[in-house]
Amino acid sequence: MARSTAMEAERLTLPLLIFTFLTLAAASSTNQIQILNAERRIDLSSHIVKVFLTLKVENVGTTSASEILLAFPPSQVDQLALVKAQIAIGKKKKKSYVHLEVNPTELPDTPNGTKYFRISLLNPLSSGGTATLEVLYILTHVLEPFPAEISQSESQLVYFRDSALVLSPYHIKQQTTFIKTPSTKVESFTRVEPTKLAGRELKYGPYEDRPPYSFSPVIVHLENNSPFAVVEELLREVEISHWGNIQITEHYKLVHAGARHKGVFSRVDYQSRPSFNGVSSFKHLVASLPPRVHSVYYRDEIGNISSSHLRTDYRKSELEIEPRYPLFGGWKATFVIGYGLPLEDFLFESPDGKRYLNFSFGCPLAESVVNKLTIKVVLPEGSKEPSAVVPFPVEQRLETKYSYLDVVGRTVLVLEKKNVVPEHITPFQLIYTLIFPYASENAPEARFCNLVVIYVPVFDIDMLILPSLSEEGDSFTCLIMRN
Amino acid sequence: MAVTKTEPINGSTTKTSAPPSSSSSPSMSLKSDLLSTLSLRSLKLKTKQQELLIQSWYPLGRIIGGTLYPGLMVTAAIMYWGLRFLRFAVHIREVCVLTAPFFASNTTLVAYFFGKEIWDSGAGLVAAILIAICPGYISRSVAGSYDNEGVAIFALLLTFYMFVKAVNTGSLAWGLASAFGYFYMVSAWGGYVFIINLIPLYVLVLLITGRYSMRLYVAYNCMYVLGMLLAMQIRFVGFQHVQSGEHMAAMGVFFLMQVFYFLGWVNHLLNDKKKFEAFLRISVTCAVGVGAIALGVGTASGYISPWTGRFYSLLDPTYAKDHIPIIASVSEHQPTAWSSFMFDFQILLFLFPAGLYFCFKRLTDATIFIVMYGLTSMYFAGVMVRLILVATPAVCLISAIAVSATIKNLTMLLRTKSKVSQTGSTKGSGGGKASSKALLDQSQPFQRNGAIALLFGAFYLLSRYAIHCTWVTSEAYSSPSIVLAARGAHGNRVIFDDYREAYYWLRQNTPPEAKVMSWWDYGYQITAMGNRTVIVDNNTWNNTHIATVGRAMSSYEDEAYEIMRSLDVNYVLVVFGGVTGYSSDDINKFLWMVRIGGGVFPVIKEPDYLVNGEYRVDKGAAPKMLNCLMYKLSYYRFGELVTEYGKPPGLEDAESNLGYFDVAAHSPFGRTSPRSEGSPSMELQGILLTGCCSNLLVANRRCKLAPNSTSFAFRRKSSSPKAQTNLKLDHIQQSCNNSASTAGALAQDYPSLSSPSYGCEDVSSYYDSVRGLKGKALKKKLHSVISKHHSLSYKEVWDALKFLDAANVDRPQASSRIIEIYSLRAVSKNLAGKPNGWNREHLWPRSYGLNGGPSLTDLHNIRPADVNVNSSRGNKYYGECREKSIQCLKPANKEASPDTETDKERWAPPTQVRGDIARAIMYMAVCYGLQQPGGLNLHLSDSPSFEHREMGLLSTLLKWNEVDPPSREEKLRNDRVCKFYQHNRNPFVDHPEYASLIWKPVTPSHQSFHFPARKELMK
Repeated sequence: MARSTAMEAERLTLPLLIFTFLTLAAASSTNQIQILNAERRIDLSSHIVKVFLTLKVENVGTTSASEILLAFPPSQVDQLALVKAQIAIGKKKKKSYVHLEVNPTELPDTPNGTKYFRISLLNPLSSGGTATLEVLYILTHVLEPFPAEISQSESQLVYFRDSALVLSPYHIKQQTTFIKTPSTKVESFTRVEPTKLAGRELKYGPYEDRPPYSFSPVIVHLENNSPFAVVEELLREVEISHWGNIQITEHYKLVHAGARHKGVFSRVDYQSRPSFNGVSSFKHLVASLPPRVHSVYYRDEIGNISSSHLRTDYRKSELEIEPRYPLFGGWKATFVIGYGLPLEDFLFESPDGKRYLNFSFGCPLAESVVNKLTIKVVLPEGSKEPSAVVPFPVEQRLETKYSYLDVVGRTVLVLEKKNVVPEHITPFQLIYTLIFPYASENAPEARFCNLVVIYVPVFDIDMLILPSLSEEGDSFTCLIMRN
Repeated sequence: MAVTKTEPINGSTTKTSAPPSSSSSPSMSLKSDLLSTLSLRSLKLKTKQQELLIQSWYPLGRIIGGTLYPGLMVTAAIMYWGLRFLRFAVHIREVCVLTAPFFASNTTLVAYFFGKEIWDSGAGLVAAILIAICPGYISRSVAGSYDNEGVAIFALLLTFYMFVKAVNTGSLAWGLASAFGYFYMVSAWGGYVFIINLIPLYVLVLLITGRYSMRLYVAYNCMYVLGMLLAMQIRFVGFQHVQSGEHMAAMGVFFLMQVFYFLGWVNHLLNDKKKFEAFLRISVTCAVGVGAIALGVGTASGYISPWTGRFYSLLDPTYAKDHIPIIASVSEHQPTAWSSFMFDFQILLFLFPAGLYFCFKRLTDATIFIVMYGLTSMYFAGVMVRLILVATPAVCLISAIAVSATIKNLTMLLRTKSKVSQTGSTKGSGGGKASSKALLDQSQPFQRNGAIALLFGAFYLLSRYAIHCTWVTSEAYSSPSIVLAARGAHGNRVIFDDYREAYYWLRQNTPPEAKVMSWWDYGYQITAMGNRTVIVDNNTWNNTHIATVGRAMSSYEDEAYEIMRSLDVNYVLVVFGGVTGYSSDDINKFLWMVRIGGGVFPVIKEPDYLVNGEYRVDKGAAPKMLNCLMYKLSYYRFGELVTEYGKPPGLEDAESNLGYFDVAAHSPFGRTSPRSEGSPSMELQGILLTGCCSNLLVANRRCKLAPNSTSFAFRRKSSSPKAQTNLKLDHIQQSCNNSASTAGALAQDYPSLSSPSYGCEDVSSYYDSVRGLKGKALKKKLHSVISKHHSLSYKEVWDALKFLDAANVDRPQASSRIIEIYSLRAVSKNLAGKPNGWNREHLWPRSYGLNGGPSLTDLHNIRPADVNVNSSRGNKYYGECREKSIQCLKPANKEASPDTETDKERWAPPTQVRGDIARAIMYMAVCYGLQQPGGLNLHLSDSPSFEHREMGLLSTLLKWNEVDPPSREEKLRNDRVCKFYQHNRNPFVDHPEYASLIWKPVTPSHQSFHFPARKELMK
């Protein structure tokens, strides 16, 4: 017993040692890099906060550095929907940007639980070299309505909390933060001199020579009446039929996440003086759908919603939907949008018999945040080995669904992601093969066989006709084929 | 009484049926305590034997199995499971939507077999075709009509078919089958009572007509015994077959059958006529006696329940009106109008008697059945609109017999004739035969052509029927009633989806345990679409609940608040159509709320809400009406809506109530937040307030609302971009056609604002010259003051009346209606001169000396009056009936105000306007009363006569003048006649005392002293 624990301890120490070594190396890397100039532009014009960070980094150490760390306060990490980074290559006119890989990472004894993202550089930054990084990260649910409840005639005010200084493990020589507000109406803001408010822009900085992990909390209280459209849950079901159609059904649970509506709702005021009433509410949304969309419907549990418009052209289709009532703060609406798409636009077959489905991830509704997105791809019956290629981490699992005349059920690949923003609308790929290519490609026959299997015995009993051998044989082969 | 009696609901009925009087607050609080403990969030409370659904019929709950017919649900569920088993991935909703059409198609099959059984296969085929498209049946069998009747009509017809088959064949199997059919019917619909009464009746008729047979014995016994036992398995029906008076006929006939059989057996045994007759006498007396005693004891001991009110109301069409207002309030329970018969049956209505004729010509057991089915169901269809549905299969079958038999006869004629002619032409034989042939040949082309013509006629009629059915189905039965659609001015479709908008809002944005109070019409819809607990739903059984809600709606706000607190209500839903002119809103249904509420709670009295027996919601409404909850909720801030645009409301119902709305707008409800303790916890949601109207205005469209009885057009006046967003609900005018002219009229509220001032406008100086005069002298002087005036043409009088007697005296031009003088009813201005509208009534009749000229068009003498009332007044003089006159009619005319009276010679207008009329008559007597060349020489006296141009009765007029002093309206009218039209005044309106000065030299008696006081009281 004692021996085994000793062995185990020994086994544990080795990775531990490696880990500490690595972290030491990382810690040393923080010292060898400094930021010459950091410019941060925060866009508060909608409820999705976009932050553009331009970092000019310099390697002041002796060894080359292959990665740059981004630091976030722990409160922001949960609200972080997306982090993207790119590096500028070339000079001036030949300047182009190359995407870099960004991954969350852990560091030991970080001050106050700071979380990190690691940007892996394409080419290690040699000693003394500089590089310009462009980072975009998107925060959701960071604007806190204050007052939390407003009446119909009031406009919506929100708090935005952040730091005047860029949180970074590196020394920053010079930095500036610009906050773009949706209107000129800013109730109050924290001053960290030099601070300047001009029109729709609030400028913090420039600040010189700030040590690593400098932090200076600021609160901006501003007006934001953009639609706070949050989809609490979105279920997109993509059903592939080899008859030539892809059927998409999207179940939305929409909520207005802004300041809660207080008191009565007066339709008269709302519609007679729209500029003073319900400014923070919204009554229609636009969903952008792929071109060549057909059989579009928009309904909910109690039937068709008669207020929607579809505009199609050869590049995209726009569906303008209007919930049954305007959405005020805290009000909810659930609905379903469904449409069909031609199969040949999305499904491709490789010579080895594999099928490739290219479809877009994300929510088609413009300017909306999805708290939980589930995409279910229902493959034809008899598909196997499905695998998905998604450009960002998602949860995956398999399910089985029974639809019309199914015997073994259809394979369903489920993709789940939390906190999805419009920037997540990127294509993903799904690869699968069919057990019996013949059976599914000639689906009509397969279905017919299925019918025969079910009904022939019934008719036999009913009509007391002795089944001929050939009939029996046919249905038998069908049975084998299906299974 | 049937009114106060509620159906027993788990024994807690007494709680609500005890009327909680408003003064007994302790009991109220106790009740609310009790209810709050009841309102646990438990959907189903399992008691010993029954499951209780708390959500429906909140807070008493409802026994699930015991209060509904499970047939429809079970059917749908079985179909659903069957389809799922066969791997059809259908949704239960899709199954439910298509259940009714599926069963309707089955019904056509049954109709074919039934027709074949009673007549021949041709009749069956025609019957199937007729019922397949008959609107009477399609109304309940369209997709989406998931209703008991959807499967019940199929079950009804199937049961009948199988029973007739059993009677025809005497087969036990068919008898059993019909018992099962009956069981299915019992499980599906309460209309099974029709079967269990019709079949015994039919059997009885067969017995009486001597058609008793073993076949009948087998069929009926089998069907009745097994059917009864099976029906007892339905919990809702239970032991009613042996306990309820409605089912006793079947049992009686059953025993009668046994007696018949027994007698036959005895007859067979005895084989002696005399002995048998004696035995017959004794046994029949015994049987009848025993039966009567059993029934009497059963009824007296309460074992057999008496007939229910519903049963009575079916047999006697007037019963519901007097005793069960809740049944009478439902539109589909109204007696059927001819138009609905025509709408639902069209030519079948005429084919039906023809079919009956054919049936009587060939009387068999089967045709007797269909005749009885047809006649009884037609009677019920006449009693209630909804029972057209039950009559439809019978009407189709009988009509099919008529069509089939006629066509068959005609084609037969054609065929045999052609055969005969062929044989006649080929064969030439002599003698008498030849002559008869020749005779036949002579008549042949005639008959042949007639037959062809008749056939074409028949096909024309049938094709018309097909066209009619298609039209009715597409127009009336194909669109959901919850979504209103209309055509806009450009032919585009405008959809009003306000109901679903409200329900969906409730579903999404209220707490799941919220309770919604609304009128019972919306109960099912809120439950299904809003997914919230309602206080009352569309089931007429929860009468006390509905009465409680009716009481709350018609009480003052504080009382209503107490009631709602005791019911734990969180939201109140009210539908108000005042802005768009949607006519079936809650304020139009309000009288039923009062009536039903008053039926259970005597504190609510209908007359409190009426003005002179008339239902009004404008300024003249009763004070109780203006302060009740329903009124306040409906017109909450409505005045604001109108006044903020700075324009008259121009709405039909809300035209003269600006002043009142401002008062009504500030109710304690609406502004308070929900769930705050201690303060009113109701939230008024304006969702439905103006939904579609303002939507339309936002879209900046002109629209014409077709669903309403009158069509309105919305117009936007200003076209500046700012005004486009600042919507203006300027004016809603009645028709698009005259929109241009009304726009002009709108700009100025009075005919001619710029008119110069006339002498008559200064009232103080107008009568300067008559000061201090009396009697004849006064009359003469007055004549000189008033007789010179501008005179209108008789045609101009129309417009003048529309202005002078407008319903809204403050905004006469904007008002769309006028007040009729004898009816005191507001009717549309557009009905001027229409057959059912109003016309120009001369208070001083023309036959009493008005022979043209200014006297004929004097506006002081002309008022609008209902056409019928006007003609019934004729040229009677004014006066109250002689006492105890038999011929005294009160009210004088059906359409006149209730306080009018008339006999052969006299006519008394409504008390409210008696003074007005008296003064107008006196004016006439002064203005045209002086002897002068060419003068009219009108007089007043107590002995009226045409020849002497004496109008009366003078004493009565003088009395009326005192009893009813000039009102504000009358004075305004006088001013306006002076200002805009005739430029003279009626002196008696300004100085009522002139009347007695002129005609009554004696000082008025003391009686007149207290008349004004009475008038005060009346106000």
